[in-house]
Amino acid sequence: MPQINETLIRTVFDEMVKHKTALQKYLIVDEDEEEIDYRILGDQIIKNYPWPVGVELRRLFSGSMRELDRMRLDQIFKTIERTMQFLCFIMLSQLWNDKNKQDLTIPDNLSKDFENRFTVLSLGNFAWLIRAVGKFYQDSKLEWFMPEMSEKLDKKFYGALDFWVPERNEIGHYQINLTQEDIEKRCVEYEEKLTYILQSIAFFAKYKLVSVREIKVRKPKNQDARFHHVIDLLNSSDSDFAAKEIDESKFSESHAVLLMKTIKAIEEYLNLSPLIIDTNSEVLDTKEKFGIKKDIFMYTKFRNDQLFYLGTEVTEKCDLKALSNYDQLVTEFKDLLSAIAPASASVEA
Amino acid sequence: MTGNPFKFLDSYTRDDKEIFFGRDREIEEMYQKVFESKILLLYGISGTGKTSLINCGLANKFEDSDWLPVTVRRGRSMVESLVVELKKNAIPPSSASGRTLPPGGDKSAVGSRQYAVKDIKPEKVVKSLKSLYLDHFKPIYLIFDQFEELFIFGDREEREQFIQVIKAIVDSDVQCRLIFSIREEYLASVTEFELTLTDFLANRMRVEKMTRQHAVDVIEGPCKVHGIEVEKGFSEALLNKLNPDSNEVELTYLQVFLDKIFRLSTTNDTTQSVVNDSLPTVPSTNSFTIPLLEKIGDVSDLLGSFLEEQISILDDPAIGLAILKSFVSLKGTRKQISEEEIQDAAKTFGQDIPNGALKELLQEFVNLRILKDKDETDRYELRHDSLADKIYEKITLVEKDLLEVRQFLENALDQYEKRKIHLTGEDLKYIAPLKDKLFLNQRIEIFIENSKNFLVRTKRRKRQILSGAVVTAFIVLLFFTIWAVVERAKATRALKEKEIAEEKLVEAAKDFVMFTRNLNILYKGIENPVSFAIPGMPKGRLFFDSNFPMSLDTDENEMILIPNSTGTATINLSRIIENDTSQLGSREFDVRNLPTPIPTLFGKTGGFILRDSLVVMEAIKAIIKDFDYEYEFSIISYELSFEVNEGTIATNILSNNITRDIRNQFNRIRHNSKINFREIRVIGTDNVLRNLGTLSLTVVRWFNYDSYSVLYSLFEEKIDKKDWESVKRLGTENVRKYYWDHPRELNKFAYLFYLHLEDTDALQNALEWSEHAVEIGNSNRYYLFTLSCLEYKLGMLDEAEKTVKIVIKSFKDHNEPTQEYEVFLDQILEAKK
Repeated sequence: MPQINETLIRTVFDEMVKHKTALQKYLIVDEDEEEIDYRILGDQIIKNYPWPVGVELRRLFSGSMRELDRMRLDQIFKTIERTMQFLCFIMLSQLWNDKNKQDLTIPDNLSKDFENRFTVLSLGNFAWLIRAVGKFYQDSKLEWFMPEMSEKLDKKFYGALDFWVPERNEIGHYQINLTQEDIEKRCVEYEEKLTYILQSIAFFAKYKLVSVREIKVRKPKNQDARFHHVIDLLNSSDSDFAAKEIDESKFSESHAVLLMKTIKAIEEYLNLSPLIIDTNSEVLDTKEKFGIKKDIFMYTKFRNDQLFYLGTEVTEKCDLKALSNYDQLVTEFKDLLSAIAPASASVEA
Repeated sequence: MTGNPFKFLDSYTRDDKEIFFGRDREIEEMYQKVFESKILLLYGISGTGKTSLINCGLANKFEDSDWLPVTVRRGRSMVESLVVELKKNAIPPSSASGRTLPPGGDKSAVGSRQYAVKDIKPEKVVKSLKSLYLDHFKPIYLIFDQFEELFIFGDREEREQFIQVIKAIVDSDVQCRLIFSIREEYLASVTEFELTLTDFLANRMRVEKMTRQHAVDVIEGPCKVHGIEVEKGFSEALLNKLNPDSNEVELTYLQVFLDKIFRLSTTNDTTQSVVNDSLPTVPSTNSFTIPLLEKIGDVSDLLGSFLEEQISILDDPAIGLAILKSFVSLKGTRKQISEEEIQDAAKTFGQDIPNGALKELLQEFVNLRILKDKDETDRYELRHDSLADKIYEKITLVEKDLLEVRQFLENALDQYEKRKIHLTGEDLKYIAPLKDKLFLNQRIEIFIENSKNFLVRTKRRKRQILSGAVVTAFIVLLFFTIWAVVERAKATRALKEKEIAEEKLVEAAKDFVMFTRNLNILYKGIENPVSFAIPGMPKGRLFFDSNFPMSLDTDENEMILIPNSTGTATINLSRIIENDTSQLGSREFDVRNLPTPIPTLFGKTGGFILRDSLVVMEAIKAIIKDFDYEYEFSIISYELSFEVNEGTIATNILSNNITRDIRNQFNRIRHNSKINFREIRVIGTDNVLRNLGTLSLTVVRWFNYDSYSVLYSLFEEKIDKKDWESVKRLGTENVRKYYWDHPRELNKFAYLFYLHLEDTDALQNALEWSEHAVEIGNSNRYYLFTLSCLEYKLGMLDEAEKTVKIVIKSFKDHNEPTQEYEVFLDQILEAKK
């Protein structure tokens, strides 16, 4: 009988291999080993999903979560929530981009409810947003930044997302008391459901999530300017992200978290700001900034003209108002709102 | 809530979150800093609460799934202790991915194995760390507590080994951060690490003494949690009593004081402070009042009087003190020791303690909270360094001398076990006056005896050598006298034999050898070096002569010949004795005209040339390819033609020069047009006129790197010139840019890099191209082979092994030979060993 996490790991890894053949080498058993080391496959899964999803999977795989108990149940919810949040942010970032580039007409049902759904995020709102934006792209035959989404985001997938909303409302918020037997049963059932979602988005392995820390311009005499990018790779199993330097004739966007098709060149990318931000390059040089934690943060709500974020590694609340680019983030957020839901430009609490 | 909310001499642990107060600022700072670098150095004087800050403050900032602390205290050696801790935390393979996580991990592995410290390689430690991460999927925090012990007890060899291990960890991609906690008086010692780990001190944090303001929180916070009422002004009064003249508070003393007050408040008996932790239960009405404070008399030496108190109530205080003294190092710090070591050390202090009594006393000290209970290695230690300070004050000067000698002997024994170095005569003299008072254990006694015996044997051997030398000298003298007589008789006979030998040498010299760089070929009109070797070397002057002009350098065994016609050249070897010349032998060589050269411009014989390079060319050259001699022909004329926008420019030139006027015209050459040097006529020193035909080059204003042939020919050109920097630059700038979607080209360039470059950055680039080629090239087996080659060259042996196995399988599936790849696999496996 497979050990806990093993079925999830094997299923998701097999799917990832289809999108990234280089991973198949991990399926070869060494002569001195009897069987595949699932720990290594698990590690590769963590590293090949973008950090916000990968870090939750690392926690789910951790030694503290290997009992079929309430902690594991909660971590499964956290993993699915962060996964849906990330997918939702990608879709919205692309929608905002496309809206700016071409004259898209956002359907009423999406633009009307968008403000209510997006200013306070919840699992239900993620599911709704993913389905609404997904349907719009499908109906309008628009091409996704990650083309695999056209195939993978189908009715079955949306149905699988919908499963989590009532479950979360019922169990995740401790509204019912569960017996140990209930918990064990649900842990097993939820692991299967989570496996399906992760399997569907295994194509993420082809893409890289990066944080642009710095761009320097180098312009020698009588030569074209080159742009020296220092980026952090946010595909990692810990927050000591590996830095990489790219010298390019093109430039990307500074202090931004980007989803890139390749890190070999600054070609195609999706800027996820202000929905996903990186505070690691912030210089904490004033007293007001001392409360800022260095982490990758994901947007959670917009209230009283103020943006709220949730850390991916730091679990405690963190006020980011003192960030040097905070005003810029608020402006960007309002632009996003007004682009998708024009009536909501003056959003109120 | 019940129980004592104060920690006495213990540090706070993760479970003490509710009662840990007054350190919020430090915890925040440490939490920030721990992410700023892989290494965090925490320093401060003893008793500032460094251990509690890490184990309680920092630990509680993390969720359980994000924090795997591995605390390392030096036992026999730092590296060994690290390995033991890693083993202890590892999960046995059968349950690594399973649901069960045994508390305390794999203890059996620790107990059953003795590590040969010097055999622990850095890469093995990194491997264990990686495996530990995969067992738990939690970031590992290696906490080196009491790090100063490495400098107090460790030698240079141990420190060097530890530095290499830390460097390997820092350089690896293992999910691990390192926290070093050290007393600040040892901070300077750490600079030794900076030579190898330049940033070792960069991310550091000083833990300062606590201020009165925060100390009030330390008093009142836990009281609030435990329902103890605190009278207004009590905290300030307590701090005034403890530290009347300072704004800073000694935390250890504060904890001991609070513990005492707590016990007084529950029992009304201060002498009960000796009892163990579990005794008091706080009634809800319990309170800390100023009158209670006044009941406790003088607190100026709280810890000293606590110790005095505990020792005095023992049945035999002298034995108790001797035991405690054995827990203190020569530097006044605490040290971990086993029962056996305590017994030995106590003898130094004049106490022979039987086994049973020692065990009882140790347990009593544990109950009295002076000692920590024994750990997994069966070692005890004092609860706090401040206790060590107090005990150190009680060690007399004579005892310190004894301790010093004992320490010296222990180190010397350690050196003997590692490097077989005995005590010297000076060492034995040093220990002699105190030896009888040391009560040494059997191992050290044997070591001293062996050293003495070794010294005696060495002296005896020296004496034997001296007397032997005198006898030998006499025998040698006698021998030479007899020998001289006999030799004289032989001399006549020898003269005759010498004459015979000379004849033999002459015969041998006739077999002399001569050779040119090109077997027996000489070229007309140039300097041909000819090497020679003459066996035998008979008496007289040996010399060569020839029918050509010639110079001779006998030191180098080489002569220079300059033939002036083709045909056969003869070289004779002769000797002269007393005006009598006789020829010993001769050799013949074939003299030829020079080979025909080829025209070149800027080293090119065809292909592409940048217009910018062309405009600075001052001459074309005619060189002989793969010629063993340095030689250049003179170009006497050539016809030049090239295309400009207005048409063709053609001219005849009567030298090899390209004049400035013509070079100016080159500026107008059309991109991608030809420049032709025709009818190139040359003459060499052989006086033969040659027509070299045409040199034709394509002039480009820029290289089209997106043209595969251009880029590849440029690569070949740079590789020919061994211009590795240019190869690296060309590849890095262009391959990804133009060939990212072309697996065949990606693979080709990656393989070129593998073949010719050693630079890690360049190979990493090639690895990326190769991985991408595999990815978009349907895992083509040839592309996979390139990938395995690069992985091998980059030292990724596990990866290389896996990849080449896929290659072999793929070739087998296609019924193609696999021998080449199997050889490569063997090479990888060999390297892994």
